[in-house]
Amino acid sequence: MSNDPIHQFHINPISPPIHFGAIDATFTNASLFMVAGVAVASGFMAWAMRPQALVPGRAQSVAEITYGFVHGMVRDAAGDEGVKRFFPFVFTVFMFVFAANMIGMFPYWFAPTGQIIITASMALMVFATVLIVGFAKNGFKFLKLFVPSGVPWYILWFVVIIEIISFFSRPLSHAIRLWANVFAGHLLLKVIASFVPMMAAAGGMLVLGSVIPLFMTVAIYALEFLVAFLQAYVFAMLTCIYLNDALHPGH
Amino acid sequence: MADRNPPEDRLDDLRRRVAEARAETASTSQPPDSAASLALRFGGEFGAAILVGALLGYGIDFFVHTSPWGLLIGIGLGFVTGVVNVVRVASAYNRANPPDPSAPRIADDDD
Amino acid sequence: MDFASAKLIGAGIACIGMGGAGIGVGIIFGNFLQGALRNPTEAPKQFGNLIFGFAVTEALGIFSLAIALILLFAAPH
Repeated sequence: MSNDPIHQFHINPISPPIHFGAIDATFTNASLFMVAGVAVASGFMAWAMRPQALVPGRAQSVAEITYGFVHGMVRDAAGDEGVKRFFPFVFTVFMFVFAANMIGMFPYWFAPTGQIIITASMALMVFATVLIVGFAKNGFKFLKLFVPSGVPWYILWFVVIIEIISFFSRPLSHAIRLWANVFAGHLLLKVIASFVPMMAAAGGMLVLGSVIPLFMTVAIYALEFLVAFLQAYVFAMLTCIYLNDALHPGH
Repeated sequence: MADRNPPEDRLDDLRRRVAEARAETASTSQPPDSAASLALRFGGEFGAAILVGALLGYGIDFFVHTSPWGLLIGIGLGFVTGVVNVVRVASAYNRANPPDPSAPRIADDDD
Repeated sequence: MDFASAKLIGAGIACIGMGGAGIGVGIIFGNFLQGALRNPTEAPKQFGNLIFGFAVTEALGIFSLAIALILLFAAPH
């Protein structure tokens, strides 16, 4: 059914089945649009920076502003050491999420960030990076992350448990935030847009009324572009904040 | 001939506009959160903490065979964690958006 | 009625309690916002009371969630 609002999130294989042992690695439309996201992000940066002019042209200044924006974000959240260690990672994450969100805005195209498995695997990648870098850099001092200073000993054990649960709930809320925004936005767009043909088909005064959901669709579309940028920014920002904990575990 | 200023004036004008644009971009380097994303953030932090607490408790139950106490205590601890997370987010938001100190006080009907 | 379906129905009934907690939380935050908009400078001082009221109210909802989850996942067979 073409009016099914969930239909846009269906994953369909577009290649013959590929299996590596128990792993199903079939190339699907989700894979295609993730590859497209990587291609758009890296292709744009490579193309825009090709002149390497001292006085940048239009495309080059867009690329440089993006670079400076993420650079400032990492420096604010994680300090100069964070820039040295994590800037390429955060920049890659930001560009990928932003490109994937923007690609998802095209009608009939697929939004990869509307799949929770994709946001969850990125959030778990950040989580694993925090754990590995934290233990590699600080050793067992990394566990000080769970022990806030200045707490009397009789409630300390309770606070430690709370901090541990809070730490493990991070990748979940990190993944859910991006996914829920993209998913809910696209769902809302589809539902409101489907009111237009429904009201137009109903006849009578409702044909004139079908202009209202049309305008709402346009307005929500504009809002979705804002959300696409904002959620990429929030995702990268939270990545910086969590990575900062790996570098400086003491509160 | 209002639109034909001497070149110095136009240069000054350009300088002023560039400075204004610089100040603008510097102050808005952090875009404001939309209301929907803020709501999803609060809900996500709260729900995720309860879910993780319940999962940890259920895992302990599964391995130590203390059902149902692990799940029960896990949900309780997850709830407390959720409240702590929400308080953290909310106080960060309040710090970023302090109330206007010159805001008028409107008397209640009972006053 | 067999035991498994009785468990599921019981879990569903337990979740009705969450609705009550939702009403309570709505009342708390609604009244806080009403007061805060009348007197914005005093509002941050009441943030602790707000969270206390929210936590106590929501805890009752969490009790019913806990009952539902116990019925679903941890009930004796």
